[in-house]
Amino acid sequence: MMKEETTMLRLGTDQPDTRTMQSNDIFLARLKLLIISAKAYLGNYPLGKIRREAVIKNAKAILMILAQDISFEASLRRINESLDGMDIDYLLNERVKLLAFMAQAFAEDFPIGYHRRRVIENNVDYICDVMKIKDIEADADFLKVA
Amino acid sequence: MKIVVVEPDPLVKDFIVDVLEFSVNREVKSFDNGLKALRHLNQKGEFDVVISEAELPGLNGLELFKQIKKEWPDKIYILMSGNAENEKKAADIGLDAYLAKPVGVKDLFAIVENFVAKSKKKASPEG
Repeated sequence: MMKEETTMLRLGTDQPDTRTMQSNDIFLARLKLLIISAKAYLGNYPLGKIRREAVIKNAKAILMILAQDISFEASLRRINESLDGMDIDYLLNERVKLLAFMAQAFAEDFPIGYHRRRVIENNVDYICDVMKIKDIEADADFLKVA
Repeated sequence: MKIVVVEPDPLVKDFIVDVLEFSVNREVKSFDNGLKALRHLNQKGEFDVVISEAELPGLNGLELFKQIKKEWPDKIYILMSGNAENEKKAADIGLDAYLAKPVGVKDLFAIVENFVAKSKKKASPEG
């Protein structure tokens, strides 16, 4: 079958801000993927074998970055102007860590009852709220059928 | 739908592979070198979408695409770059999409929505 001729699709960063990716770009993007995977789990989206493995790999990568602590602090510093100091930093750090552990647990099919689901939900809401991440469900809508 | 990613930075490559595998629920093959990727792609032709960084060791992304497109013109080719000059070059050689770095999860999901999910629907209209 011949491919249709179309104009080139352009995605990503606007031209004046185009640059190579730094470790804090990767951290923030991985954190978004972690939140989307938790939302997908809570929304009962299909989680196949490879998708589960991707969730686990992403959670491990986040935990590794948090253990090094460099990118996380750098990323927080960029969005932290409206926050009140170290307590929030520490709490956010711990909540992201917790979400990464939770993601590994649901991806590995560990039993997640009503209360654990509520904790995942609260944790996601807290992180999205502090980091001002909005409309993440709309971005991941197509995962329902992928 | 088979996706191949070519990216020399291991942190970026692993991130892109994780997002794509999560999105399509299929294994994604990856390379860190243009020549290795070319060898694999030309030998097997078992791919549907190639996403490559422009600056690669061995053979740069634009050259890689020029060479594979000759052999496999009907596949989907996407260039990624942190250098704005590459956008026009990508359009000049007729690539399907251009990803300006830094790229996020949303951009990679958009690639899947535009090129993978649509072709899946075409292949099996019943869903």
